[in-house]
Amino acid sequence: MKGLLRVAGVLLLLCGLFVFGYSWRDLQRKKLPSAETFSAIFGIKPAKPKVAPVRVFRDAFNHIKRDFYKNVDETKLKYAGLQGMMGSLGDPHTMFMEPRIAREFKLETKAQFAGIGARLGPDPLGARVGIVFEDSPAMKAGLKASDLIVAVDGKSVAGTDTDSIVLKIRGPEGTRVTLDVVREGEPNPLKITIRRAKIVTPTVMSKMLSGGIGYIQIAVFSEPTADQFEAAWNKLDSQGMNGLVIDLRNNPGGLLESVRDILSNFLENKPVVTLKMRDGDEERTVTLVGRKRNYSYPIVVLVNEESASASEIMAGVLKDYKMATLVGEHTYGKASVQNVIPFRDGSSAKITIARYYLPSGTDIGRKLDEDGLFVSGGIKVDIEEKLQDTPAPVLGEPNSDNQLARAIKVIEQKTGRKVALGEAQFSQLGADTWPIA
Amino acid sequence: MGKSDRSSIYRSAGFMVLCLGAAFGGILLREQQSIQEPVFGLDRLVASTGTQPIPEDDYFTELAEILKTHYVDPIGDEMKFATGGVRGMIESLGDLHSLYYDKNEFRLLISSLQGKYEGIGADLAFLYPTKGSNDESDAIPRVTVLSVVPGGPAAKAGMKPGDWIDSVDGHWVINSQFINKAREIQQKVQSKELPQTALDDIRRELKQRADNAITPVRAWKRLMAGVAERVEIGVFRGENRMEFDVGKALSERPKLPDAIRPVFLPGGEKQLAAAIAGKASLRFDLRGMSTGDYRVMADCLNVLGYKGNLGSIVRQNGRASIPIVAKGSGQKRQVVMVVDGSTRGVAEVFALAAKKGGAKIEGASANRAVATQLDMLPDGSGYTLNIGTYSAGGSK
Repeated sequence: MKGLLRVAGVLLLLCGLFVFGYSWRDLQRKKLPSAETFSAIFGIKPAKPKVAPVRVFRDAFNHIKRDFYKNVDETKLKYAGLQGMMGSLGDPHTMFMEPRIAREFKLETKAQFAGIGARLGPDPLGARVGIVFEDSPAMKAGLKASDLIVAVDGKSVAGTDTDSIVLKIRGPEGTRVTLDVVREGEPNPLKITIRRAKIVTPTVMSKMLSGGIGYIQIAVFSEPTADQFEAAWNKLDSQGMNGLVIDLRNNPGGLLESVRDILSNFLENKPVVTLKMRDGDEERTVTLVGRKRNYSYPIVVLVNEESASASEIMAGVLKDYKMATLVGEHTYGKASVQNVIPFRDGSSAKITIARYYLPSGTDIGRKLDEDGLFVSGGIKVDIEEKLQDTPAPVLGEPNSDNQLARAIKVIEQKTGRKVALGEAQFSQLGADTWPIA
Repeated sequence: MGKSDRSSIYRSAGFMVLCLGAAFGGILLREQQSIQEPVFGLDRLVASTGTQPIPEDDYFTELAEILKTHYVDPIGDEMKFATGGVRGMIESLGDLHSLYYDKNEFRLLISSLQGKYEGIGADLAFLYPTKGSNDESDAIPRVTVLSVVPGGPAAKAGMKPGDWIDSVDGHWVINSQFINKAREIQQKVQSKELPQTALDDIRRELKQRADNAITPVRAWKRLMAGVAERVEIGVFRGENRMEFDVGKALSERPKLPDAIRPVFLPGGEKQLAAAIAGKASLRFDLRGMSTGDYRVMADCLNVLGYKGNLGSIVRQNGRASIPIVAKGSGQKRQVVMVVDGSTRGVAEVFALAAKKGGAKIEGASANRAVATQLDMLPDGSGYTLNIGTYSAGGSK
C-alpha cells in the first residue's frame, strides 16, 4: 500500500514537472498557459478558421494579377488593397496613404521647406509668378508678381508642368538657383540669382476691412500657424480694431498643438479638449498660461461644412466658453484624432487612435445614413447663413461674400456702429492656391 | 559503503534524471508545437526612408498588426481586413464586370442567378450610355433594367427592359444625363445663346441633386433587397422620364416547359448532368441570365458532351487568349439555346461556345459575352472578375 502511494506520488511529481516544462514559455512571459495550449498535448487542435485572412488577401491579389482581362499595375493593386483593408473599419479618417500622398501630407503639416518663397502658376512658356512672399529670398532678389520664369539654371522650362518647375526651384537651404525671367517692359530676359532659404508657408491671411473690422483667415493648422496668427492679430490691433472676424471656412484642420496655442490667446489654463484613447485612458489638453490677450471688441467665427477637426475644436471651444459668435453653416463633425505610422517604402497609415470631446462634453461626430447622406454632427452655428452661390462669391470680400457680410452685421449689432461695405478688391484668380517654390 | 547505500544513490540519481527528463520533455514538446505558430512582431515595422517595395503579404500582416494595436476600437474579426482588401483591389480596377458584393449583396446575386428574386424582381446591370468597348472609364454607368421577372413587382408596375434608373425614393442616382445637360447650357451661355441666369439655375439644381445623390451600386442594392416595403423609382425610357411605385415582393422566374436553366455556380455542372441524363434532345432557356462562374460554365460544356475547340476568351494588352477546349465524351445531342437581349455574360459565352459545337440558337443575344469568374470569400461576401470576352475565332 505504502509502495503504491510512493509510485503514485512519483508519477504525480513527474507529471507536474512535465507541465511546468511545457508551460515554461508562458511563465517566462508572466502569464498562465491557456486551456488551448494543453489540449494541444493531446493532439486536440483549437477550432481555427479554415483560411487565414492573409491567405484570402494573397489569393485574391494573385487571382486578379493573373486572370484579369488586361494587365494591372501591381503596386497600385497592392495599395488599393491596403486602402480597402483600412476602409473595412468604416472610419473615413483611417486610411492608407501611398508614398506620393504621404509625402504631400508630411509637407502640409510641416508647412516649411527650402526654396525662394513665391507661388507659381501655369504658363505655356514656363511658370508665371503669382505671389511673392514678404521678406522672402525671391523678394530680396527682385522677383515680381506676374514675372514669367522661362528657364531654371540655364535650362528651358517651356512646356514643363508647374509642379515639376517648383521642384527644380526648391533645393537645399543656402544653395543658389538662377532664373531666366521675362518681364513686361524689359526687352531681354533678366537673369536673377536667388539664394534658397527656409520658406514657411503662410497659413494665415489677414486684412483690415472698412469700419475697423479685422479679418483673419486661417487656411490650415500647421506648425507655424500659431505664430502667424498672433502676428496677424498684433498687426490688426496696431491699426485700431473694433471687431474681429476669424474665418475657418474650408479649413480641414491640422495639428492639435497649433490650435491649442491659438486658443491660449483667448483662454488661460482651461481644458479645450479631452481625448479618449482605446484603453479608456483620457488625455486632457489645456491652454497655456501667459498668452491671453486683452481685448474688448466682439469676435465672430465663420465656419462651414468643410471646417473640420482642429477648426471645429477652435470654433467649438470659443462657442462653449461664449467667447465668439459662430456664423455660417454647421461644421463637418470630425471628432477623432489620427496618428500617422510610416512604412519603409515611403507610404504610411493614418489611423484613428482616439476620440475627442469638447469642454461641454458634446459628441460632434458626423452621422450618415446608409446611403452616405448627412444626418447630424458637427458644431451648430449661432447664426445660420448659407453661402449664396450666384454670382460666384469671392470669399473674404464683404460685398460678394454674404456670410462675411452677415458676420460684420453681427459685430455692428454688438458695437452699435454701422459699417459701410468697401469696394470689391480684384485678386488674381486662383493665385493664392498655386504651388510654392 | 553498504549495498543499500549505493542502491539508494542510484535510485535518487535515476529519480532526478526522470524529473529533469519530464521537465525538458515538456519544454521540447512545446517548442516543437510552437514552430508552426506564426509570430508577429513590430520589429519589422521600423520606419526608415528606403524605397524598396514591400511584398503584399508582409504589408498585410504588418498593417493588420498596427491596426490591432493602435485603432481606437477593438477590431473583432480580422477577416474583414482581408475582404475589405479584396473590395479595395476589385474596385480599383474600375471595371463594370468586376464587382465586389458584400455578404447580403452576394446572397441576393446568387439567389437571382438561380431565378429567385427579392426586391422589384428584375435583373439590373451597370451599363455605359453608349454601346462600345469594354473600357469606357470616363463615363458614368447607368443602372439599367436587363429583364423583368414575368409577373414580378417590376413587371406588374409596367417597367420594361431598357429602362434605366434616374432616381430611387427621391434620391438622384448619379448619371451623366443631367451633367451633360448642364454642360450644354454652359456652352450656350458662353456663346451668348442663353442668359447667365440659365447657368446659375442649372448649377443650383446640380448642387441640390448632388447633395441628395446615391451611387449606382447603392441603388442596385435598394432595388434588389427587401420583400415588404414600397419604392418609388424614376426611370428614363428613351427620352421620356417616368415614375413607378413598386411594391417589393419575392418573385421567381418561370421557365419554358421542358427547358433547362443551367446555374453557373459551384455544383452547377452536377445539377446539369442530372438534368440531362438519358435525354437526346435538350432545350436551354438562357433569357434573363447574365453573370456566373466561367469555370463552372466550361465544365457544363463538357457535361453536354462537346469535344475540341469552341472558340476563345480574348484579352487585352498582349495578354494571351484563353482557348475553350471542351473535353466531353463526344456524344452527339440535339441542343437548342433560347436567348434574347437579356442573355449576356457567362450565359452568353455558354450559348456561343455551344453554337460553335453545333447547338442551335433561338433569338438574338446581347453581344456582351464577357467571361467572369465568381469567387466567394469566407465571410459570405464575394466578387466577380472579368477575364475576357468571347470570340468564336481561335486563340492567338
